Amino acid sequence: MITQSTAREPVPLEADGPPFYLPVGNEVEVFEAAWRRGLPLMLKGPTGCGKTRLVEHMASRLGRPLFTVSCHEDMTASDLLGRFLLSGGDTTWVDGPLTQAARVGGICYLDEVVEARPDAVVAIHSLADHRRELNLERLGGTTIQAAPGFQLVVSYNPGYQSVLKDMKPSTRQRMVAVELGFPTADREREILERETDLRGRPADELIRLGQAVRRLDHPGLREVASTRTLVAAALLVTEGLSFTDAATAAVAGPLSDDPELRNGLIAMIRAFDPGNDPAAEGTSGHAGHQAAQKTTRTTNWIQERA
Amino acid sequence: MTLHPGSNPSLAELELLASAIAGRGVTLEPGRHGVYTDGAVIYVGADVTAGAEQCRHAVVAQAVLIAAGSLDSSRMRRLSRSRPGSARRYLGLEVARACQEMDEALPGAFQAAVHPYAARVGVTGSPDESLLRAVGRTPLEEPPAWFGDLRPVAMLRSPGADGETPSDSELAKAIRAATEPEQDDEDDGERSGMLEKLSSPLRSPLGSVFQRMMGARRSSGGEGLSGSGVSVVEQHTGRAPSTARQTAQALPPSVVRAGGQLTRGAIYPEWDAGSSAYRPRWCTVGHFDPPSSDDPSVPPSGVDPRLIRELSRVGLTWRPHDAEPLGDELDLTALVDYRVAVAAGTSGEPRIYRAERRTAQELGVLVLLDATGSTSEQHEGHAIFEEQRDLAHGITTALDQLGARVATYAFYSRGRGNVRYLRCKTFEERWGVTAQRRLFALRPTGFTRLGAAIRHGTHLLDTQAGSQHRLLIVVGDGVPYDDGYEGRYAVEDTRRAIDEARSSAVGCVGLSTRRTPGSSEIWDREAHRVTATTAELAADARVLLGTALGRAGRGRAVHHVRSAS
Ligand SMILES: Nc1ncnc2c1ncn2[C@@H]1O[C@H](COP(=O)(O)OP(=O)(O)O)[C@@H](O)[C@H]1O
Ligand SMILES: [Mg+2]
Repeated sequence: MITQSTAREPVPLEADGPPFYLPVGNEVEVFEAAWRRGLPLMLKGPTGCGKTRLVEHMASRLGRPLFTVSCHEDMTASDLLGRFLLSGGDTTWVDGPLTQAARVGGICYLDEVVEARPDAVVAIHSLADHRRELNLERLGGTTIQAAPGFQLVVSYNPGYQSVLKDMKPSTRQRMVAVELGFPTADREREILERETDLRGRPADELIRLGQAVRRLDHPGLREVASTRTLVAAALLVTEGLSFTDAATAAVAGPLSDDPELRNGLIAMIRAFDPGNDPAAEGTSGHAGHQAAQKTTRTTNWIQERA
Repeated sequence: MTLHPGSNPSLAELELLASAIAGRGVTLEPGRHGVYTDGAVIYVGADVTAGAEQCRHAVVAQAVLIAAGSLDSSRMRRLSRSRPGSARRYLGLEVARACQEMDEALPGAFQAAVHPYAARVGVTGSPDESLLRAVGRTPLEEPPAWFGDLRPVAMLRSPGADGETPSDSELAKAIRAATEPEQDDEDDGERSGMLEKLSSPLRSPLGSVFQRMMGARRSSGGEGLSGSGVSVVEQHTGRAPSTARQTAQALPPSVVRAGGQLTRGAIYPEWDAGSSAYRPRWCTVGHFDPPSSDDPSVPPSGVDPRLIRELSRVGLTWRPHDAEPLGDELDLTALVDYRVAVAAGTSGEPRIYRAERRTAQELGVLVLLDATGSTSEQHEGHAIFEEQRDLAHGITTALDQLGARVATYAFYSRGRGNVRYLRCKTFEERWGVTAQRRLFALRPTGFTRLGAAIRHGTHLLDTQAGSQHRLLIVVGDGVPYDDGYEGRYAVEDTRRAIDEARSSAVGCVGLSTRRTPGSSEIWDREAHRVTATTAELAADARVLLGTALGRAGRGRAVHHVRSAS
């Protein structure tokens, strides 16, 4: 039985530089240092915090081809390493993405490695330790030495169960871990501006909504307002959707199976909708006109009392 | 007040917003008038239109007070002695201060609404500064009405306010109050003050007692727990008469409030044998994690090989396996590999078939451990709870090794509004050190609303096990007892819950480590064993569990357990 390879096409080098990535900490430095030393890297962080974007950015910046594998439960070691295909009367070996990356000295990115079964993950062991080699048992026991420039990068969402316990301790120890969180409000605002054309109040309120949702100590809720979903909501607003409709589709949408949570989120979204601003509509007696003029997010919006 | 078209959130819908801003679980409840909070609940008066913009702002303002730490008892005490208007001035200054501090997470519309007032009075730098200005002589404007109220007296007005240990009846009253949805407004202050104090460990010794009773987090457990809770709940007398006959219907797990905390869970009916009817939406089951303790040591997990062998024969079904030496179908991948191997001159065994083999994969088990106060009793030098816990550990380990889908939860209750499921291992999680640590961090506490616990177990098996055979193993002393839940009522409800499980094809068995008088009332002989250890269980496991699965299958096309060869 032959299944489709899960590898994506290698990301081509952009004419106008690497894809935009705004660092939240020292991850770019750590990534680059690890790459120079051939150390495998583990990116930890919630879904939608920019792990994939970081890898794409680094691959382009380091001038290495990127082989991305989105891990899933049905993925086998063959999906990573390669397999024989029947063509005519012959059998032809086709490299998997991990093998390809090792041969050409690319970066192999196993996205959401926890989703993969342990027996598939075993395939990376010999590449992740000091040997940096790949043993292709099915290809008559061929051993491939990873070319210079090769790096293994895995991403892992600590919200899920950990497959790391299934890695050999020696492998785990050889992984350099980088922990990524959601960016601060200021940085996230900057990302929103780079990724979308949304400006002004709606952009401010999306950022605030994200910050507020992340204050909730509720399993699974923090991630619904990830940087990724905020970017998506912003894109929908620039397409002409109302704030509430856009954010509902991008943020509350994935929760459709949980009506109470969803309604609560929608009520939250409404609270942040600048279209519902009484000052803007001039319907509230208390919110004055100064408020309506307040268009930019200012940290110190009131002077300290003398 | 202005209603905005298309924005008419009910109170419940605003809870998420309030919780997000407060930075902790907050609930909204109807009050008589005005909007105010006791630190855990925000009361919204009947005179406030739920959907109005200003109602939302008021709720946000109260949540902001909680987030900003404005409500601590020493300042409340000071305000309660101050001249009229001080509390509201303090409220206004604190909202303005917090609004500036938290501007990154507060709706812009709310900030804009606060802004004119804040600009007029000026923003303080700390709660103490706000307090000084609020009670001071310099004239200071009160905030607009929509900021809501601050009621320091109500927060302090409750028995035990000076921090002495509460009497049993006070605790019972507080628990009762916490589980009663309808409450006379008059009691709000007293009740909420009580709860507020109870749930704050720093405030008084009362807090730690309550926390212990509620099984909330504590740094290291174990001290002085034995039987602490059992005597405090008075007999519950006033039962609401049930009207129509209802069917047992569980809502899907969603967000519930269990014991005042927002969490995942579900609400279940309860069987009232007296009137032969279900009480609809009667019990709230919420999911929590066991308290994290500094070093819950996990003993080396020895597995009982006999238990594994016996369990491996329960729930066997036929499943296709790849790369088998014999079979009816060809396994193409294996065939290609084999051909390649032959061509390369390294032929091995031609394992090129797909074949059906008996596998234990199809078994899903939920191990439900009774972690209620009654199990903390000592018996011949051993705490019953520890024996039960070790048994649950052994069973989980064995099933996990067998590759069965297994989840392990402990439970206890504090009245019908607060049945707690404590996660040790979900179906998805590995039975690793983290999960085992959670099991060993458990300390028995609280009471035993067994029916609701069984209904929730059934529900989890139904929705999450994903296996054909499903089994609920209750490890406990089998004595159902809770506030308003005892005697025949409790026994009948529990039996009913077991019947419900069976009719939704979930097998149900009870295991006890000691012979207790109550368990025979709940479990029939076929479905219950007294087994102190996994070794004793092994001797009997196949019959016990096989029978349970067989009974659960009745009336349904479910595989029968094959006896082992
Ligand atoms: N630090 C960042 N710099 C630039 N864009 C980011 C950043 N973080 C998140 N994003 C945006 O969020 C989107 C999703 O991020 P992604 O890398 O797919 O997240 P993850 O892989 O962690 O799930 C990106 O496409 C990008 O628009
Ligand atoms: Mg990703």
